[in-house]
Order: sequence, then structure tokens, then C-alpha cells
Amino acid sequence: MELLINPKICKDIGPISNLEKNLDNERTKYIIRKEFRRLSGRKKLGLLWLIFDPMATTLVYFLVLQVFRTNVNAESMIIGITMFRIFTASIKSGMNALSDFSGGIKAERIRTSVLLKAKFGYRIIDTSLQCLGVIIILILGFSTNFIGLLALFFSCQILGILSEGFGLSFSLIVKRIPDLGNLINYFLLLMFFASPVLYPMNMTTGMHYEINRFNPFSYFVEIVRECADLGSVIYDIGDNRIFIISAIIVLISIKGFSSLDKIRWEISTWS
Amino acid sequence: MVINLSSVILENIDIEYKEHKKSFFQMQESNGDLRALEDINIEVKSGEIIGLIGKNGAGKSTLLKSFAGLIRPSKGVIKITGRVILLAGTDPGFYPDLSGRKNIRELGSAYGVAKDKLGHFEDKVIDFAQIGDAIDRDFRGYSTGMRGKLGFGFITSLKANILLIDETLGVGDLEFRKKAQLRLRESINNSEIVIISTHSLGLAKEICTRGILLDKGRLIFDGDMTEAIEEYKKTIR
Repeated sequence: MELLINPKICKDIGPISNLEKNLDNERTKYIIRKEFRRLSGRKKLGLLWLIFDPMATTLVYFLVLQVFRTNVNAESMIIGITMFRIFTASIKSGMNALSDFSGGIKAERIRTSVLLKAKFGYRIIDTSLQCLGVIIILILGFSTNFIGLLALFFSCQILGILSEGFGLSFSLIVKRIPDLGNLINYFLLLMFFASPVLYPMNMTTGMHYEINRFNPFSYFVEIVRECADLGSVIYDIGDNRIFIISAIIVLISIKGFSSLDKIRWEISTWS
Repeated sequence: MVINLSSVILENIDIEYKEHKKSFFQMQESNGDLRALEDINIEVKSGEIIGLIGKNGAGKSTLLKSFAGLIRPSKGVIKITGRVILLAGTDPGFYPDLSGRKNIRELGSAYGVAKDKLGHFEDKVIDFAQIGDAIDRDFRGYSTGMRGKLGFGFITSLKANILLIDETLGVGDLEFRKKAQLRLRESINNSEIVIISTHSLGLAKEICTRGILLDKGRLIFDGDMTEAIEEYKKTIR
């Protein structure tokens, strides 16, 4: 196989052999394992923390809201917090994707397709583990229906992947202007309180409600609440609006994933 | 029958590093672009051992990275046939919270060592590193010397068509350097193309069949290694 390098691309010419495909698979698995090791580190419970952490965080919020005697459905809140955690974790992971393109394999160039596959694999496993703990709470504590649990699991997967791609689209500009990272963090904090995370969207009114009709996060969380028979306003948001905004998010996300190779190549000479 | 011999071809290569202004309001502009390589034309064929020499900042490491497909040229074309391994530093990517032995096995798979050959590969790396019982301790606790031995042993145990070496022999104590030189010769014999960036002119003269001299990003000389060294000496007088 020949590697062709010019200012626009760095790509393999010719078919990829089975041996190379197997090597790519090994590398994908290696990168995913490495990412999870980085998270679990030297902790005794290791990856179990990925399951426990959303459970513990959700319970803390639940207790805090109990103290303030707010009239919020706990089940609805647990779903909102879980989905928002996955949303922010995926966006931040996408935005920080440019910090390392070696995948931990420092002595040889690896194909961008390997990095992409590892990114998808990691996101799916991470989201599954985060959902698992919360699903256990929802089953044991609230007897949430099966359709609601399924909707939570699959909505989280889609939300995670779309958010990762969305974050990737902004990674180049965040790399160029690191200050934007801080601004985005503030925006996400604002979104946490303004979006229907701690409360269902039917508790919002006026301008607050109208803004959330344009907030794609609302669509995901309200669909899950609807499936879990918790009541939602998903049918009031408007089909056309949901379709158009979702399509824009999907396109931005696809652009993020598809431009990874180009971005990787462009920043290779940034000092 | 078609035989694909390894080769590296660089045609009219320029490489510029982009430096971005820190000022928030001038975010779109890049300024002070540093031209690291200028109009480089090199063709390397199977069987050649090339010594890359030049002062610090001449562009040697940048040239090696471009051979490895790690950085983008701003002009020109590079064509590489064969598997390229870059030995720059002595860390192939070891994970701190795994033992040396586990690192060898895990990373070995990621570098394409077949499962049935992992045992032999592990023995080869450990035989070279000779770090005793530490091989089963976490990599995090290794001294710099131990890390160097394990990393060098690991990378030189991999099979590469094109082996790029960047100043690695400067690390470690005298004993390690002697051992590393022997191991390096073994790796050179197993590779089709070797390109060594070095300040060790004696080593370059001894093992290289061709010398390339760089100065301020330009190719000054390309030919016999002994002549390249003579040219290099002229530039530092």
C-alpha cells in the first residue's frame, strides 16, 4: 500500500488488506480500552464508577430538591439529569478531540477511520454504562415502564453521538481560541437550568417555554418523558420545528465527524 | 509477479509551522509562519541507510515527521511505500497504570504483533530491557532509565519496512547506549530503509550509506556520507 501526502490529504492508495483491517480493529479496541483506563485510573472500583456516578449525582439533586420542597416529579428529574450529563460529556469530548491524534500509538501513524471508530465505540459504551445505573434506579424506585426505559437508552445513544459530532464541529475554533471553551462551559451551565432538565417542559411558561421549543435537548428529554408516561409537551412543540432543528443538528454533527481527517491534517503544523 | 519494494519520494516539499496570535481580536490571522523546510526533493530506495545531519533547528525532526505522515506539507507531494515506524524518544505509548509486561502485550497487539507471536515478542523486549522484577510493576513507578530501556526494546522489536530514528541514542547510560547500538544494527538489518537523524557523526559514518545535510530548512548536500560530514563541518566552522 502506498501513502500519498500533499497539502490537502494524507491517504492510503489502493485496497486495504485483511491484515491491515485486522490491525485497524485491534487499534480501535486498544484506543477504547485506553480511554476507559484513563477514566478508571487507579480507582479500586474502576469502571463501576461510570455506573455509580450518575446514580449518586441524581440522588444528590433529588435530595437537594426535597430540601427546597419543590414540586418536581423525581422520575422526570432523574431522566433529565441523566440525559444532560450525557449531552455535556459528549459535547466536551468532541470539542477536546484535537488534543491527541495518536490514539496512544506514538511510533506510527494510525488511520483517521480508526480514531473515528474508536470514538463511536467509546461513546456507545460510555453512554450504556451511564444509563445502566439510572435504569436500575428507575426500575427499583419508580417501576418505570419498559418503553420508557428503552426510549431513555436509545435517546441517550443518539443524543451522545450527535453531541459528540456537534462538539467536533467546534473543536477547531476552540483550539484556535481556547477562551471559547470557557464561554461554552458557561453556556452549558445556563442550559442546565434553563432547559427542561430538573423539571418537565410543561412547568415552563411564556418566553422560557418559547425558547425551549427551539432547544433540541428538549425534544430528546420530552420524548423519553412521553414514553415513560410522565406527561410531556412534545406534541405541542410542532412537527416542522422539530424536524428542521433536528435536521440542522444532524447535519452539523455529520460535518463534525466527516471533517475529522481534514482537521487532523490542518492542525498538524500548528505550533 | 509484482514486488512492492519500500520507497520514499519527496517532491518540492515545503513545510511551514503556523503560529496563531494570542490576541482574542486577531483570532483569524496567523502570523510569523515558520518555514521549517524549503523545496526538498529526495528519493529513497529500498536498501539505503541514510544519515540526516545538520545543526539544531535545521529541519531534521520535521523531515522525519513528514516521512512518517505526521505533518502536512504546505507544498509538494510525498509518496511512501511500506510500513513506517518512527523511533523518536523512547515511549511508544505505554500506559502508566499497567505493568511493563501488560503494556508490552497490549501495545504489541496495537502495533500489529500477531497473537501467536506475542509471547516471543514479549521475551524479546524483556531480554533487551533487563529490568528484572520491575517488569511486573506498574510502569508509573519506573525510572527514566527503565522507561528508556523498555521503550527502545519495544520499538526496535517491531518489524518496519521503513525505520526512522530521531536522536534516540542520546538517552541512557553508557552501558545502555552500547546495547542500544547493537540492537539498532539488528533493526537496521531487518528494515528495508533506515533514516537516522543524528549528531553522532562517527555512528553516521560507520553505518550510513548516504548522507543528507540540512541547513535552515534547505537541502545543502545529498550523497556519500563521508562527503556529507565534510560539508557539515564546513557549515559549523
